[in-house]
Amino acid sequence: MRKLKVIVAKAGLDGHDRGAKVISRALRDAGFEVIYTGLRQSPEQIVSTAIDEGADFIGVSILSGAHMIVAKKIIENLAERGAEDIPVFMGGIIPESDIAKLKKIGIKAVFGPGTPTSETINYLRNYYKKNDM
Amino acid sequence: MTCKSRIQLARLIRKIEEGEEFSYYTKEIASHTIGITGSGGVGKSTLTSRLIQYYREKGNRVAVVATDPSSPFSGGALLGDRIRMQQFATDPDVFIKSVASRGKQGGVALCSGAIAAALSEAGYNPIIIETLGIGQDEIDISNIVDTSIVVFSPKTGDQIQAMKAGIMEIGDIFVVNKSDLSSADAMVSQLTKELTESGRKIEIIKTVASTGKGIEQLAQAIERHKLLIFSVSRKKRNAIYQIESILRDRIYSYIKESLQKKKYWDDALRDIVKGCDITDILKRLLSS
Repeated sequence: MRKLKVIVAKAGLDGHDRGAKVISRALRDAGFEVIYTGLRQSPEQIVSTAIDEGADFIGVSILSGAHMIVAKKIIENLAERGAEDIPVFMGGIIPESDIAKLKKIGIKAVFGPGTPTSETINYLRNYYKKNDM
Repeated sequence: MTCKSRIQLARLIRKIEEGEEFSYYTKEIASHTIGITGSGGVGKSTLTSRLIQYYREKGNRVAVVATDPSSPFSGGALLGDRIRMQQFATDPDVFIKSVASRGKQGGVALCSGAIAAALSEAGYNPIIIETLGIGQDEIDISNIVDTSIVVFSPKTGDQIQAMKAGIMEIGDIFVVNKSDLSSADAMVSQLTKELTESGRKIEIIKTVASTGKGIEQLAQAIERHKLLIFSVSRKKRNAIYQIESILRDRIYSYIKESLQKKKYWDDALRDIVKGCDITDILKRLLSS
């Protein structure tokens, strides 16, 4: 069976990376291979990294408030490069009212602060099974 | 290369990594392959990043295969070498692939050589393979690449450390990184002494990867070594060894799983602890 590969990226200009590190560690401990990109990644960097690494998922953490713009650019960039089949999930500080909007443009799931890491892990595993990636 | 074929290359590499594609294990690598090894924290990734920059300025298309350890407990991994190279993530002429060791000892993943073969076929040259942070005897990199670079940093041991077997016996170029630290010269003289006494002629280059100092000299040393080995004959990769390791792992997992289903495995472990003869147990397991 394949190992699941996840890109964890900090988009935008804020430096709050605790959430990204918590989820990276939790995924590692659940047997995922996590590629951590570090801070201040542009949508183009995130998409290129996901393509080159052959990622199964992209996880984006953002706390700056720019989530709508960043999400839109990532989804557009994936489509432009023919990689729209890589699912994107998000975390960070994202207002409840924006979650439906994010899903509408193609973000698969949003995990806010306080989400048990097991919820994210189960979501990713089930997504992989359901879509037989 | 177009976007579409870059995706195809990435997906091919993933297949090699997952043990679904084996033809690249025995393919010739036309490109020059450079290995970067050394203990954790000596600056391998930062040095690699500087080398990418150097080769890009020369107009080369560069690829990197960077290794980090898998957890022996969960099998998962956190691959972070890329962090130091992310400024090249969007460069169409740079390809960076992170691989996890997946239980393999020796400092590099089993698939590293095969991935390098795929990258070579795609036109990347040179290809840099970075090991995980190694201890003293993880020397597999020298079986995979043309030019091995062993990176040291000052204040990492006395001459007895330098006399120990293992990584001191490999390496075509030695680098003392963080050479702006005051103890760098002491490190260089220790290494020089050890090399003289063991009769090896190896260049020692001082670098400060964080500022780029010494990278030009390192690149020149790499070029000299490349000319030397390409003019004589390049060593052959021992690809069958890698395929054999994969096969051995699969056979082991297969047999273990099927024996565990019928409790034979746990019974065998218990009986061995109790003092039963292991050869008898083995016969019992194989006939079950």
